[in-house]
Amino acid sequence: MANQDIALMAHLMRRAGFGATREELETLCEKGYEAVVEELLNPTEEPLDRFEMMRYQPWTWRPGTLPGMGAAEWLWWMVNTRRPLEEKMTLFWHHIFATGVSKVDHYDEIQNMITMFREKGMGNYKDLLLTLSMNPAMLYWLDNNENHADAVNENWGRELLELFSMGVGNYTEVDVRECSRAFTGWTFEAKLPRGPLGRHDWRFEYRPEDHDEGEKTFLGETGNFNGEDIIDIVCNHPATATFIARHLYNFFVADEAQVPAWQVTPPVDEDAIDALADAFIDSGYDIKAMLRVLFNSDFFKNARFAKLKSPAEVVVGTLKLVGGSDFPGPGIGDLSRQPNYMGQDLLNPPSVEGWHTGAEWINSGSLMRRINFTADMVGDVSRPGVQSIVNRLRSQGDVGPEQFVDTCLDLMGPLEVSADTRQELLDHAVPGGSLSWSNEAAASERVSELLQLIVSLRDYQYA
Amino acid sequence: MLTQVAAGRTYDFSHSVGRGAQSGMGFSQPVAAAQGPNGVVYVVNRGSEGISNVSWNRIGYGARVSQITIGAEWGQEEFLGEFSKYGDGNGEFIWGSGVVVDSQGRVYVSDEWLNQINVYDQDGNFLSRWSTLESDDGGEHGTASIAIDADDNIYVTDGRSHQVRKFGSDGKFIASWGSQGSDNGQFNAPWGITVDQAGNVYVADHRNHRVQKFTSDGRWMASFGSPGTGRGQLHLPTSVAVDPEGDVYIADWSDNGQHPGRVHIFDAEGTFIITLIGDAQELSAWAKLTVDANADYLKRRREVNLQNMESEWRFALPTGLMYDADKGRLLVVDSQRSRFQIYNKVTGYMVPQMNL
Repeated sequence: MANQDIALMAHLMRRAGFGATREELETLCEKGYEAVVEELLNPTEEPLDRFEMMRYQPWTWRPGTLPGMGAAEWLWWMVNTRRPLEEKMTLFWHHIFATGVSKVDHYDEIQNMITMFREKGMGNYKDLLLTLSMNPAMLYWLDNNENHADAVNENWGRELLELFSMGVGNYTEVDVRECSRAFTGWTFEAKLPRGPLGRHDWRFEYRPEDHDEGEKTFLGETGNFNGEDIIDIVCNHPATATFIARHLYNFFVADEAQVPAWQVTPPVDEDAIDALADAFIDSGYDIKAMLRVLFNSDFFKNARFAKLKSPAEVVVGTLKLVGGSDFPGPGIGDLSRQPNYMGQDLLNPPSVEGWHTGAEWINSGSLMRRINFTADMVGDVSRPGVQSIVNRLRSQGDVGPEQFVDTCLDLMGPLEVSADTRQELLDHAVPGGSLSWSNEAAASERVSELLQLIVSLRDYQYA
Repeated sequence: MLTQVAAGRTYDFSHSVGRGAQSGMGFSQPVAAAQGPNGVVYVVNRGSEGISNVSWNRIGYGARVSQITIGAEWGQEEFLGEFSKYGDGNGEFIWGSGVVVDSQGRVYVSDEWLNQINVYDQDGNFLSRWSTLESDDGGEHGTASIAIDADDNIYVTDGRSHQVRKFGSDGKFIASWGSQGSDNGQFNAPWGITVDQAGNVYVADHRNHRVQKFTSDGRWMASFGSPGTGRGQLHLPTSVAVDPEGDVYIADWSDNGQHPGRVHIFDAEGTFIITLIGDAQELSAWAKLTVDANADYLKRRREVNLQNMESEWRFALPTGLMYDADKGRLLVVDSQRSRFQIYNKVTGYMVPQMNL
C-alpha cells in the first residue's frame, strides 16, 4: 500500500474524525478515499449506546450529573464512536453555537444540545438554526427568556446575526432590534430546581401573549415577522453562506484568522470559501453537501498538518491512538478534564464567541499539559495501541536507528517532520544503536521512549 | 396512580425516603439495598468521580454504605450512620454494586471494579474481604450484584464474563454457570440477582431484556418477560426481587419519557400483573428539609406546571429492589433521584364503588 495513500487517509481521519489506528487506516485505504468520504457523510454504524455509560458511571448523565465533570460522557462518545464525522461536526457546532455551563449551570441541558448537534449537525442548516432557537440552554445563555414584547432584550438576536449566521458588517443595529423583536415570546417553561433530587429538563415554550406582533423591517424586508421568518431571511443572505464556509474551512482545513478579524482579514483561500458557499446555496443549506465538496477538494487534501490540534483533538486523538478506553472505567472523569487543562473546557466555552483556535491554543502552560498527557499515554506500553506499534516494530526484526525512527514516525501518523526534527530524533536514537529484540523489555522501553519524544514534538501538535 | 389493583393484588404507594447528599441524610447514586436485624437498611452508594489534578489521587465523592431505617410512613425514616469509602483498602470499594446481610447480621458489599466482597459486622466494622475471581480467571470481569440464600451461600453476577458464581459465606468457590449468549441459561451482561424462599435464583439478564430463574445449582427453570417497552415487556432490566407469595418484581430502564424506569410485577408463573412507574408526588421528609431551607426553591416549585412536576414523581433509572417481607412492602432504589420509593402490598383492600 502506497505510503501516500495511508498519509492522505490519515489526514482525512484526523480532520473528519479524531484519528485512526494504523490497522483502521489500512482497511480504509482498501475502500478508497471517495468511498470513505461517503461513509463518513452517511454513517451506517450504530450510534453508541448511552446506557452502556450509565451502567457503570451513573453520575455522567441526567439527572445526576455533577458540576465540573459533565463532559465525561461526551469524551467517552468521541473516543468510541464509529461515526467519527458526526461527532466531529458535533464538536464543530459546539465551537460555533458556544453555550456554557458557567452561566447555564445545567450540564444535562448542554448535553441535550450536544445530542441535538449529533442528530442534526450534518443536516440542513436552517433546520439546525431553528432548533437551536428553541433550545432552552441557548435561550437562557443569551437571555431570550428576558426578551419580552414590551421590553426587548437583544442578546440572542445580536448573536444570531453576529456569531451564528452572517457576521459583523452585514446588518445594522436596527436589524438587530427588529430581529430581537421577532423572537419575543420564545422562552422555556419553569422547571423544578436542581435540589434536592437532581436535575430536571427545561422545555421550550412559545408565549404568544409575550410576542411582539407589530410590523418589522429586517434586512430590507417588511412584515409581521416571527422567529422562523428571520431564520428564513438569514439563511437566504449570501453572507451566511460565506460565514459558515469560513468556519468549516477554519475547523477542517487550515487555521484562519479568528472571527473578530473576519471583517478586515480576507480568507486564506477565497476560492475555497466560494466553493463551499456555493455548495451551501445550491443545496438549500445542506451541511453535508458542503462537507462533501470540502473533503474531496484539493485544498483540503493539500492541507496536511496545516492546523493546530484543539485540546479535544489532542486528548481524543491520543486516546484513540493508544487504545484501551472503550470501557468506561474509573478515571473517565479525570480524562474528561484533560482538554480543560489544555485550554478547552468542553461544555463550558469562555464566551458565546467560543474558543479562539490555531496558535491561540498554545501557551507555556497548555503546551506543557499537552506534552505531559500525551507522553504519559504513549509511554504506557500496556495500552493496546502502543502494543500494536511495538509489535509492528518487532515484526521488522532488529533495525538500525534510522529505520527505528522512521518507522515510529510512520506508525504515529504517518507524521511528517522537518529534517531538523528528524535529526533530533536520530540524535536520541543513535547512541542506543540498533533496536534489538534480543531483550524484549529493553526494546519496548526504547520504543516507548521514542514515542514519548515524538509526541513532545512541535509537529505532533498539528493535525 | 398511587394505588393500583390487579389480579387480586393491591400496590399502594407509601412514601419516599432520601435526597441527593454526599454524606449523611441522603444518598449519592444509590444502587442497592438490603435489610438487616432490627429493620436496619444498608444502602450502597455508588457515588461519583471527583476532580483531581493527579491521576494517582482520584477521588470518589459519596461512595459509602448508609445505614437507615425506613419507617412505616412519611417522616419516620432515620439516618443511623454510614461506613466505607472510595478506595481499594480493607473495607473500601471503587464501584459498590450490591449488598446482602447474612443470618448472623454480617453485611456483604460487592465491588464491581475490584471484583471482591467486603464483609462487615452489623455496625459497619470491617471483618474480611475476598475475591470473586478464581486464580485462572482471564478476560474482563465485573461483579455486578450479590444475593444470599437461607444457608448463607452467596451468589454474584459477573456482568462482563456473563456468569453467575456461587460461594460459601467465607468466600469459598462452589459453582458457576452461564456464558455469553441468548439461549436459556446464557446471559448478556447479567446484573441484578435474588433468591426466593425456596432457594431458586433469579437473574436480571440486562442486555437480553429478560429475567431467568434457576435452581440453586444453576439448572435453568424459566424466563420472565420479553424484549420491548410495551406492557409487561422488559428493556434493560436491572434488578429483581421475589416476595413470599412468589410474585416477581423487575426493575428496568424502559423509556417512559424524560427519565426512564419502570418496575414490572409478574406472578410466580410468569404472568404479567402490573407496572409501577414512580409516584413520589410528595417530597420525602429529608428532601423537604432542603426545600424548606431555601426560599428560592420554594418559590420556583410553585411556578412549575403539572407536566414539569411529573418528572419528579417518576422513577429515574432504578437499579435496585428490595422486598421487605416483614412489613409486606417493596423498596425501589430510585437511583438517579437518590431516594427510595416504597409501595405497600396491601391485603384485604376494599375497592371503592366506581360510581362515587
